[in-house]
Amino acid sequence: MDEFIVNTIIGLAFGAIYAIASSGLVVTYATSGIFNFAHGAVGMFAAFLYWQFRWGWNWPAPIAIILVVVVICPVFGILLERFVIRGLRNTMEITKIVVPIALLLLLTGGASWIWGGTEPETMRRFWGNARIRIGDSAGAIFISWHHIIVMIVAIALAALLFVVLYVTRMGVTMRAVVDNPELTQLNGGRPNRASAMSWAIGSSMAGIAGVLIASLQNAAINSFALTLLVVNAYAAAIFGKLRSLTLTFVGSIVIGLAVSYWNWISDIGQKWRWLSGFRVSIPVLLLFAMLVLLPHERLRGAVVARVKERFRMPTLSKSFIWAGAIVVFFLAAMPVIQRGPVLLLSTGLALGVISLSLVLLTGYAGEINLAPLTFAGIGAIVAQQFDVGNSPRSEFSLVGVIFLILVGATIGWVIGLLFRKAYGRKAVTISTIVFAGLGAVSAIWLEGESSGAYIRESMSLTGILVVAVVCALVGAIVALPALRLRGLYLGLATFAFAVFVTNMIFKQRSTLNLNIPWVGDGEDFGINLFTGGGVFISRPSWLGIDFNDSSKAYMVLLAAVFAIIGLGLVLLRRSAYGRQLAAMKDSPAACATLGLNIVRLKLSVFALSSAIAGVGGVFYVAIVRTANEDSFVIFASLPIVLLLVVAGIGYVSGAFAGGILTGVFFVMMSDVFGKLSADYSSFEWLFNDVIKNFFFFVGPAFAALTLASNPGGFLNDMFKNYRPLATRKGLPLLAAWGVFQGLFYWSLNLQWVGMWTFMLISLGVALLLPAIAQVLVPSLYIDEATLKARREATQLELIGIDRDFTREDIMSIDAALKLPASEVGEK
Amino acid sequence: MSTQILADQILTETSAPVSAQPSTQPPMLEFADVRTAYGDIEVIHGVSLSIKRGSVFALLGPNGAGKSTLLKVCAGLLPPTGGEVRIGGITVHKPGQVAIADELARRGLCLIPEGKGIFPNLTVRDNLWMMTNTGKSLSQIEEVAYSQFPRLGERRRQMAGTLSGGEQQMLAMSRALSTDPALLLLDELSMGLAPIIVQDLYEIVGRVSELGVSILVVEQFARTVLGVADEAAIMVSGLVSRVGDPAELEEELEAVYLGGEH
Repeated sequence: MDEFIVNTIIGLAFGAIYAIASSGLVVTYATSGIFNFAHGAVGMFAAFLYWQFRWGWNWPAPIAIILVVVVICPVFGILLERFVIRGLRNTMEITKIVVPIALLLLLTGGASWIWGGTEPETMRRFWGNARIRIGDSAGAIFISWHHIIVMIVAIALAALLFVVLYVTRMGVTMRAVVDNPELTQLNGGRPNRASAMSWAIGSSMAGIAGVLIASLQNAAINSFALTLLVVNAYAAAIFGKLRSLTLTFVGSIVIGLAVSYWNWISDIGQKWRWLSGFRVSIPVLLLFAMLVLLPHERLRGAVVARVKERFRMPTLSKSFIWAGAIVVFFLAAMPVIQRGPVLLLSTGLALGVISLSLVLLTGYAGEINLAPLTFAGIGAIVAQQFDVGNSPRSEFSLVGVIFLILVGATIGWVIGLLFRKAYGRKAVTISTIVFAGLGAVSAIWLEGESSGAYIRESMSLTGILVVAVVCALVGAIVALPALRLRGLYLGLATFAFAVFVTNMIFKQRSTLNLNIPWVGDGEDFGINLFTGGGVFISRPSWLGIDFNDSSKAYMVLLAAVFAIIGLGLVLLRRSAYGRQLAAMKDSPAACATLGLNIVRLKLSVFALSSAIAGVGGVFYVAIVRTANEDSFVIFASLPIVLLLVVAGIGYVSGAFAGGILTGVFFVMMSDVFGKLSADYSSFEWLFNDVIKNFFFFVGPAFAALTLASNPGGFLNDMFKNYRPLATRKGLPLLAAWGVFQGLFYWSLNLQWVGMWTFMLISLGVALLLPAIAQVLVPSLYIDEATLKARREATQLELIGIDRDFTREDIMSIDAALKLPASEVGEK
Repeated sequence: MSTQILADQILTETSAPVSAQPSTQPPMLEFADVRTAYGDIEVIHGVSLSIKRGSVFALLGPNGAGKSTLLKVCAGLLPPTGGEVRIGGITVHKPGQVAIADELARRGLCLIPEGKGIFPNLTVRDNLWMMTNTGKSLSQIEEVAYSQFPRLGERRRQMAGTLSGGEQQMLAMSRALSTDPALLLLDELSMGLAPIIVQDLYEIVGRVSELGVSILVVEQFARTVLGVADEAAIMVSGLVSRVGDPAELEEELEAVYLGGEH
């Protein structure tokens, strides 16, 4: 009983902190329509600032608190609203999600940069460990003052927030902006001021939550853990449907209590070892559950039509040229490149393959997945299981296979029933089939004669196919909520999925041993997840080349894999299926009225995309043949998504550039400056402390913040100036460049110039090419006015809308259609 | 900034009765060759109109003619790409120089937009509270609104989105009545409402006009508006095709809607 009370109070205290954080989140979302993924990071950063003031510099607690919560956080919120959030109006959903994520990475990176030293930042509770005693001396319960203060603060803040929102005109204006910003203006209200105000309040509440929760830990604080802790508030905010503060409060308390009680009954995760990650997963499980149970979003029409981004259709011939060029480039690099860059470039290419999954999913189909690496990790586990672990056995017993399929189908049927109310009978059918399929696939491992531990020396093509199939099935399961959710909610669902998989699967260090009746030879069935904290995959040995022997050859193989999958995507985009995806992205409602099967489209595109990510993951791990449990966490996924959007998520080229940016550019930059600082020690502060750390910690986030002003991705803008070169007039120039580059490469081979010089000059010339062209062949570039005139002249379908039909228009149409001159024309 | 101060001067000297010296006073609202575009597509191709002080001006025309767009330009929600909008003889909008919408609203320009003049997720009272940005106190506004429309008083705690269409329009019209504007722009007042309610609403428009407020009404179908209008114009395909006496225009309307001839 006493323990129950104590755990209830601890749960309430955590719930109270979640309530503070989540109501801040609701306020900002409600007024700006931007879900602040960085909310947790703001809280984390505030906690670190508080630590600096209070424990680092030993200031009195009240001053430190007021400075952080009343001054710094609100000012940060206002600046954020003014310079970042406002730029996000009328942008694509993914941009609205990615920019706050960039902010999240900026803050976590910044915190690691500033406070990343060796000395742990230890927080202490307010009033230390002072406690009050309840009850007589025999059955006394002690409650720390900190817990009590936390609850009082939460209630006081809730009351204050209520007063601000419902009893002041500013509050009414803040709520009015949610309904209709334009009408708010017509009423004389100032929407921008209301929005800034709400971001100030939101940031401040995140700060309070961060300080309270960090001090509650009474231990060293860690920027990522702390960020994720406040992320638990997402679930509460969704419980309130991002609108209702009351429901948000209730949700927070439920989450706080659930975590606390689980701690109690599981003995802080000691009781069931393989469930030790469950505690941290409870909030994300609740988040996932609530997202799935949210009422069906109504089909939306062409709201996306007015966004700033536009993606063109890739042409076939150019795609083939590019695919060939990529492979040839890496082939050409083989003789001259050194081992370090090989590994970097390989990483970039593998990340590029993983990014391709998002080009398909987000760029083409408009669905969102924030956790490509989670699928990559699942792919890696499957590949290891297939190629290394208790790998395929020779004999199948029919009874066992049928049993597994039946078990799978039953599980799927039960799960389908849960979703039946929301999705209809189709859900039952789909889920039964999917799980039956999983059962069939699992037979590969479970059935037949055990040959003991069996390690292949190279990755098999079958293994890759199995990875693709399993990842596709997992993707289809994750897509279940996607059938009803879009945009932000889908992003959150994948975020939750990633945190769940990381905690529950990637962190399993021991082999899962199960004994399934009637199946196998009675031996325990073992799944190697991250046994000993890692996965191990060998490189393949295909076409007579053992890639285990040559990293350079493997790099070219990766380039070829990228080129093949990329080409496949281009073909897909140009097919009827690709056009259906594009149509679904633009307007699901229109698709539905045209009779397209949206369920099938969404499920298939998710499955395909997950399969690509899984296969990419296998190739990614095989670069260095191993990956550890931290390789696939959400914080590693986010930069990939960010840089892909920066590079242009609508294009295969974007995946290439995004992968190279993530895998090569930022690592290389911090590496270069790290080396420079070693060579010039007097400039160490600049090269190492400033520039290197900038690239290492916050570079990707900074790159993504530019999206607010250039949402289409920079790559497309860059290519715009290259396009005229591919015309007949530009051909001589292009040829001259090719000859130059060839000769230059030759001189590199003769070792007249060094590798770095070659790379830098080649890059410089390539970047300057449009400028050179503009000087040499000015007629290639047409000025904007001519372009606009030409565009207007050719847009036949806009005549009559844009301007009135003239007699000439009608006559020319008649002539084109070979009609007799019409009556209107005669008038 | 200077435009806002000018607008302030213009709009706060609430319109004197027309009779004063109509010839020397500039018109309350003037569009001079106004053009505007959504993105690349121009939708208003040079409209010139002038609305006299204290008069009711009806702008009629079929769907897509650009009437609502013109009101948006006037209220500062959409910048013009050509021409000028003058209020009280002083330029408030021209390309590259647009007065801010909420500034204008606080100075006495009142646009009631088509169909959605209320905040559906705010209570009736909160909706009225939003009107206090124009300077009147909440109790003053509530008094006017509830005395004009007793039904709103009964529902003051109800979400505005749950009101009937007519009640919602009444709530929207409360702004015109209670905030004492100098210039009132009404967009499709009659849309989706029963004829009898439309008649009631236009009676109110008449009453507001008697207070000396200059009014520009945009309508697609309702002939009722011609009963209260002093002057009228027909707009088709982004151009004003005809300006004149309401009674004369009434006959021409049919041709515009049916024949597409202009």
